[in-house]
Amino acid sequence: MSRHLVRLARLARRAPLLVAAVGAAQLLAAASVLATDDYTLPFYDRDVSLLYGVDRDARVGIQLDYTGKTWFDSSTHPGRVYDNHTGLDYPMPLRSPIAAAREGTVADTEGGYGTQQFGSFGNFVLVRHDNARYTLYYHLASRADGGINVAVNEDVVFGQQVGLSGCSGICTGPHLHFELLREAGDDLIVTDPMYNRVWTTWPGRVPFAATYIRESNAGTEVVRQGRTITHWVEFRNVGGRPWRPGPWPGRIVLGTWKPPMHPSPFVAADWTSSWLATRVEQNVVGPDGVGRFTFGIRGGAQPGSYVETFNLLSHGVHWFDHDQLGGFYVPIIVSNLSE
Amino acid sequence: MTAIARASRRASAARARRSYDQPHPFTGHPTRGARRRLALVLGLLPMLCGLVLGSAVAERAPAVIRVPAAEAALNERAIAISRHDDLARGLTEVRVPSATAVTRSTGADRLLSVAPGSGQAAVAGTLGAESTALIVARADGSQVQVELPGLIAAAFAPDATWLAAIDGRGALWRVAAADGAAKQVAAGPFIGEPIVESNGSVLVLQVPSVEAPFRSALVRVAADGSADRLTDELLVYGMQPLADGSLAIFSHRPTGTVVMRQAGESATVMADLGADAVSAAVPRSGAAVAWERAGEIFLQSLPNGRPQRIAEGTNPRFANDGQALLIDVPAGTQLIEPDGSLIAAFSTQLGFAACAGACAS
Repeated sequence: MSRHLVRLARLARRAPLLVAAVGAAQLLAAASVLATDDYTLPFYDRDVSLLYGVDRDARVGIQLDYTGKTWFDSSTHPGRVYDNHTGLDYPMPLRSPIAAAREGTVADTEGGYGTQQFGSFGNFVLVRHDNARYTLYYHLASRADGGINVAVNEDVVFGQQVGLSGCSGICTGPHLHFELLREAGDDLIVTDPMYNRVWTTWPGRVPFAATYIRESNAGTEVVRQGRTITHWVEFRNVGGRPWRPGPWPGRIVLGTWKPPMHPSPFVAADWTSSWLATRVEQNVVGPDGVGRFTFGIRGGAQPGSYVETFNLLSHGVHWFDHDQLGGFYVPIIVSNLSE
Repeated sequence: MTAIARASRRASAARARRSYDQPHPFTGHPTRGARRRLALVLGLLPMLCGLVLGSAVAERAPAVIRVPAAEAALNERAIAISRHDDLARGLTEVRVPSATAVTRSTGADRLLSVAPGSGQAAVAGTLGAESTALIVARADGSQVQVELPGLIAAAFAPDATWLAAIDGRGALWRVAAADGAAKQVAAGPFIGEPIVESNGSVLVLQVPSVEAPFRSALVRVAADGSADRLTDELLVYGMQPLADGSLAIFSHRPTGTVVMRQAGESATVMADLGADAVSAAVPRSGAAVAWERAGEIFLQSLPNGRPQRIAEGTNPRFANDGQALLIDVPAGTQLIEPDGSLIAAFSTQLGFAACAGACAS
């Protein structure tokens, strides 16, 4: 019995040390999560999937594929990785929009090769980020074909369209070759975004995506002519970056759609402009979080039944996929009945 | 059984062996064959380690197939080589069976190099269903096919007895023109169109990535595989030897493409072509530069000329006379005057004899 007491006493003496060790481990774990570099997938289409991943160490007979799995031989592996591959290949139709994976400054571009011109070199955009990282977007369409949308030294925000996909260079089918590089002295060294977990969300999401959750008065809104009612709608952020409110580029707002930015007959006093109904309500909506958008609907039109269609917008950067939002629209009946 | 069919069967068998030996692509578990081999490997591990380390840079010799002229014709794989001595001081027409238009713009069979004397041409072709081969075609219709998967480029040496070739991984090979015997010179990776110098060294572009070269260094690779960097330019698109012994270097900078003259350690700008100028070429005299921008061909006299748009097309290259230009157009290849007027049009692929320091301009 006394032996147990002694052990308990020893454990009690060590408890602060254990607590400190556990705390340090938790801090390290948190730091590793925070160490993700907030990159998103460099395109907008959620249906695009990885064809080939980075092969980092083929020369020593070890390959690390896109999941971080190690292959202990030097032969090629059909499906996801091949010798000496330095980037991630995403097959997509010609002229698909390509997005900056993170904010940065354009370091170099080439747009002189034909959109499908086979040869040693092709069209590309190289972006420098603030942590001495670079992202490379290769095989793009020609500048003459609209394939290069940015200029050298231009600042880009995350998710900004930088080009269109193509098949220039050593390319046998349209795809984006996406590389993440880091500075090492005067050189740039390729890293594996999957293995190094640099995505905001594992294993990476497109920058702008949302799904419809619910809205107020699910169904038809009835508003008396000349009066204003309040409507709200909630969407889940299934994209790769947090939503934040505000009027600045990249902030998430709700605007009229079909056609985009059309002046709405239901514009209320709380709207930012004739087409911009509101911005996301919360200060930040992380990946998988739910953002609410509240705005007035004024019965400014003649009495009758109407539909007003909306879409989410990363302000000044890119519209969301309206169909993924459930084709969001509000049926509105403007009434002339008195109270 | 034809040579092509034999090659196809060999390639199929090789693929079958590879798929049996590889781990399952999705689970990563070793296959039955791999498990047996694993036991053997564990037993012989210490000895194997020594062997592997000792032969880390050794490469399997590429398979070679010799195809007589009659067999090539029978299989509809004949490559015809003919001379047009009356055009631009010598023009070689190469008719590749699958080429209905200029194929430099595609990944299909394509002309890589024409030998000095024009008795031979190097073509990138297919071997079996998938594998790529360096095809050395002769004027008599016979061929030597060397399996080099993903072949990127090849060029004849000045004496036409061998070629420098770059495979799909970017490795540099020395291939004998007569029998196709091949030896890897350096692992690279390299890209671009190599230039073989009279002393046997090869000018080539070293890159961090074959598929996405956003950097490339011009290097001279000696016969022993050692490489010396020749310029500080970060992204070199190509190079050409000039008559005075210097090199014209086509370099991409963020501001645009420039043409440099490199003479020893000294480098001077010959011309600034601006943004999106690609596929630049100069004659051996260095008296002009032609390039492509957005599907149009431009020509500028050096040192003080102004750029002139002369034609629509891609991939300009100067003729042996230093005046006429070959360009690729959707319908084939055209030989044009410096003012853009047409000299001759062809539906086949054409090349000039690769001078590599041997031709006078």
